[in-house]
Amino acid sequence: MKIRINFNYFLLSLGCLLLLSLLLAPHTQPLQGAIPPETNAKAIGYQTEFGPIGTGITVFKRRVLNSRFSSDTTLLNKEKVEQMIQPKGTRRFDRNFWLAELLFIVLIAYGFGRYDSITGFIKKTGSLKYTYHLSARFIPWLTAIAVLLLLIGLVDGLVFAPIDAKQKDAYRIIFIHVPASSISLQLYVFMALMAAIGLIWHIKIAEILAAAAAPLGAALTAISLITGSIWGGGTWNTFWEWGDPRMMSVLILLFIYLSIMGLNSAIEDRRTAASATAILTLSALVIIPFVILSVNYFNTLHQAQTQIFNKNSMDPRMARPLVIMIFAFMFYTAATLLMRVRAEIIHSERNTQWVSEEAAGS
Amino acid sequence: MLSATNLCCLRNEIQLFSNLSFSLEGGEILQVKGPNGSGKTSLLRLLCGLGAMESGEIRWQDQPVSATRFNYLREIIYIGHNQGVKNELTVTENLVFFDALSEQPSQRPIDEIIRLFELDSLDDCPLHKLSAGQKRRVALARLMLHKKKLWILDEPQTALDSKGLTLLEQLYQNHIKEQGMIIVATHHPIQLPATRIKTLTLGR
Amino acid sequence: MKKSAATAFSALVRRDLLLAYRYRAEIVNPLLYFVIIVSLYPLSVSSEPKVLATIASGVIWVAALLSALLSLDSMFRSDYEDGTLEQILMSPHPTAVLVLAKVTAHWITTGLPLVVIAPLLALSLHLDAAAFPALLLSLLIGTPALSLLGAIGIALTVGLRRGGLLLAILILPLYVPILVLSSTAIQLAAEKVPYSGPLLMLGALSVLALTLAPLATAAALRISLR
Repeated sequence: MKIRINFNYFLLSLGCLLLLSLLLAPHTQPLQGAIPPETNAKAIGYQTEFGPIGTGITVFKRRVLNSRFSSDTTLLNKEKVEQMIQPKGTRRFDRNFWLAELLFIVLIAYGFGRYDSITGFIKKTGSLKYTYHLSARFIPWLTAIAVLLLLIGLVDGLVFAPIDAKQKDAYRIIFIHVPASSISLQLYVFMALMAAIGLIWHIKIAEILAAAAAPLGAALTAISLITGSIWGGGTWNTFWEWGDPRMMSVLILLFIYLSIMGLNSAIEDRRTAASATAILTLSALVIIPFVILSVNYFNTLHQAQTQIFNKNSMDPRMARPLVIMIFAFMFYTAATLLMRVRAEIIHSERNTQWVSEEAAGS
Repeated sequence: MLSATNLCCLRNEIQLFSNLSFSLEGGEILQVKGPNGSGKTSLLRLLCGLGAMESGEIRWQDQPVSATRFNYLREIIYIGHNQGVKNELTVTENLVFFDALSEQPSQRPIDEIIRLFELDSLDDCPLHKLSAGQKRRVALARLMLHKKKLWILDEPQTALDSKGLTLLEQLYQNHIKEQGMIIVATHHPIQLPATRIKTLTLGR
Repeated sequence: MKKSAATAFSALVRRDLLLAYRYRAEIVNPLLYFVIIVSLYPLSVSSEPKVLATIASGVIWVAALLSALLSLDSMFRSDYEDGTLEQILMSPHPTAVLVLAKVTAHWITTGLPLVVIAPLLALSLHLDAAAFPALLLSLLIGTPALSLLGAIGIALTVGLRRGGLLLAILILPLYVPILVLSSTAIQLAAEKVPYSGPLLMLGALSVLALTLAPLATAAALRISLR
């Protein structure tokens, strides 16, 4: 009986993590569009689509363009065009994404089948004592997986991934930079979701999760900015590019995280603090797309585009450790989040009986 | 008509009161007593929907207040610790504002109310020029403005002189006679037949 | 005859305008702050007309943001202290409507004067003549959004004793899109290039703020008054 329950939770956590990753995982492709004959193929920029929907759009666009170009290739070398449209190695990338999505759908279907146990689980986590003990069981596993994935990813990325044509070894910092930025974005959405649940239904565990996620998100955003500036300083000699839209958006995200932490600590009553922070988180969530839009607009005006890769595609031998590192960061975030949540639970329930029993027992 | 079950209030993680229950029918007055810091003001604010209720339920005419919030708010008037009148406005302007803030038209003209509360010589003065007792009278004048079923008053007798106190008693009596309800946090004895008064004592 | 929410709305606007008029000396303070900040830039950066013309749009808008921040405190502070805010929350009219009334009155007393004075300051900063329509439009569309988004922030911090700088940290990230879009519009106009894009986006942001900010503010007020 015990083993069965653990297996369900394990699959559920895996499914949720996959959901997060697939919703926000980037999928980089060369820019699609009409390619004038005299264009140098290497000068084409990159676009990054996020998530399964984005992947679908990119693949669809590519197939349509492919069919359009096949009749019109008297101007260009057909092989060159095909290389531009479907670079080497990306076909397997597509396939992997679709496979992962299939797995995710299977997990969700399984989840619907076990609906009762899932809602029972969610109801039970409303009790803080239950969550405290449950997370004690999860944390060792999550930490172990995180450490393992970190090791694999770092070894794969630092040792086995090939040298970049232009940047030689200096590009390897993306194995920290990209996961950190990706997770910090995901964590904001998670935090906003928890804040909304805590605000509407006054569920204590949601409020605690939102409060615990804020410093973690701020730290990851800071790591992303710092590693990004180290990378920029090393390769293009610009430690801080005020004109880069992505850098600006991440900076504003950092400010938003810090303001959420500030408001949380300024209000003494925990309940009021959680609700007030929730309103701020949700308002900022609505504004963030506008921030990104406006900063992009401002900077395309001033034509400050940053090219990250000068190749036509990301070598799968580089992409693989990147994906592993993203998962590693996810498991790390989950483990750390649960540890913070445990500490918060003990603090907020310090006057109850079960906590004093707990303290006496240990 | 008003019933509260198992009210529990938490303030800065200190439990002010828990498992508090009472009920109130038309024509009754609930006197809330208790030492300082026992949560009288918190209880009153909770009943107005302004406070944070940790657990419990308030029912108005057998409907939970959380479901029919605005119906409940239509029937109550709250005069709290900060009296809710603006010091920078005159008496008339204050009453006109409160008249506009409610959905019902005023029961009687504002001039009449001002005369009843013996404020007619002061009705063009901004409130910061008046004494505390006169300001309290302006706050209490709101009670005559609209016909509300439930009055929730927090220490309404502070700063009132003997004439003001008599006025307050008269207000209570008229309201109770019309089957209204009053919840008042006060130590002042209430001059009403004992059958009409319920007492709630907070604090250990 | 039941009174509608519109009556309560206009009564609240009228009351706030009356209060502002009664203490009309205080209306000048945010304006003066605005003028002083704008004059700090030519003093510190450069007084060359060419340089000033380049930075004029940003200077005016940053000064407008900071002046809006300063003036926000007066929106709910006095009502909170004398208990009127509780009475507003206990009114049977939708709180969002009453909040919108307060924000409207606040905008009339702080945002509108900014719109009137800014062209004079822009003139002194040698802003290109072609950019003036863009400046006025961006201020007209943007300052209501400043008041609306600021209302959320001040509603969250009105109960705090030492709210001061925290308000700035809360709201300034929310103000960034308004600043950037307005500056872009003015700069595009100065280069004699079509500038309706950023202004339309700014309009969208303002409309979004108009729709959702009163709701968020009402919720925040209820939470702050616990």
